Amino acid sequence: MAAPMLSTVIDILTRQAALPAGPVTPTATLTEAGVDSMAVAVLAMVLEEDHGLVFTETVLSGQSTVAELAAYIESHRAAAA
Amino acid sequence: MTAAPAALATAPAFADTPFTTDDRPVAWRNRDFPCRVLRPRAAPASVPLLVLGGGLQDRRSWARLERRLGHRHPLVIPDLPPARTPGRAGDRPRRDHLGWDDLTDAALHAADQTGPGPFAVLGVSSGYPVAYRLAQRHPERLTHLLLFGAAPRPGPRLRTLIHEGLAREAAPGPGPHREAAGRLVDLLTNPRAGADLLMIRAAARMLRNQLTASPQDPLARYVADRGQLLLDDPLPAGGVTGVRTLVGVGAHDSVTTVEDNRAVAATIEHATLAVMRDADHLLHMERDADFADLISRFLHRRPLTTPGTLVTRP
Repeated sequence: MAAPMLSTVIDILTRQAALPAGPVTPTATLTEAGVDSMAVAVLAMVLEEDHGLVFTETVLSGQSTVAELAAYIESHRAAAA
Repeated sequence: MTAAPAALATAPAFADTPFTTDDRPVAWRNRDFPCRVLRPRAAPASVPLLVLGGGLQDRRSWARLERRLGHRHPLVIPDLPPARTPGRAGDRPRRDHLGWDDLTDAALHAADQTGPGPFAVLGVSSGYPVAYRLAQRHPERLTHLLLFGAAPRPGPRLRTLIHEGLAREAAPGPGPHREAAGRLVDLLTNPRAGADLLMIRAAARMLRNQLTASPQDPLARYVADRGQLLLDDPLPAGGVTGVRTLVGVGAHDSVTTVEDNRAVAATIEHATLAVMRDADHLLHMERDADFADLISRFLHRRPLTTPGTLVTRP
């Protein structure tokens, strides 16, 4: 189930947080992907408002890559389900 | 005109950026202040752009603008010195306090980091009074003046908050700064517009997080940096002539309203006014791609057809 979450995370980062899409790849580190504090705030808010998943910005920005970020979110979603 | 939209923060630095960065001290009078200088690896497409942010911003607050403009435009982003040391409000003016003219002189020294030639200046929020004075006093150096979030004078809410900041500074309290951060955020953003606009909500949340985490009382810091100066003629008399000028504002800006920005634009010969939809005072964060697009179009004399932006004469 990680792949749908990965798609969701990339979609939020590029379409709603307005990051340029090119660097936002699964293997990119958050720095390489351009994920800044504004993008993390958008991600946290969309996850909370649209998906009912609550994360702090500190936890989200502490993940290494885009794929790991999605996997972390997915693991907590599955645990909460 | 206030403040500050703060730190966009944690600036991602790509391994193969199309520009180089250099953080250097600028020697000015009897002190140094830091300055970030970006140079495109390819031949630059324009003169350098001096970026003067608001009171709660610093030289690392412009990561998104760097990514969108840095490949073509040299950028000079100084941390201008604070008007005075926080915690020393006292009665103004004191001899060691800086005024708008001092900050303007410091900004000119920062611009000289890329040489003595012409440059463009971008003044955002409380960076605007400095940018305006640069254009007024050194029109021969400036190719373009771009102002975002300007007002002839602070509105009543901001004036009240500045005075509260002065009082807090005189009698600092312990503990976290959540309340002060919340007041600043509520002033700088438009919660009513944010109810329908994700990016306005996100910018407010990010700013609140950063201010709350700050080791300093954010309101006292804001007042000491430039906030108190806003009470003293941010818009000097005499207007600006001979410098191509764009004044921009978010349609939902409630601290420097569209009418405030229109009034500032009206003091500048042949100025253009741009109103960006779906944004407030933090428009450079909420619509960063369009913000950069508008700047680039203006610098290159291209039609100002940025999406969701209404362009008029003031």
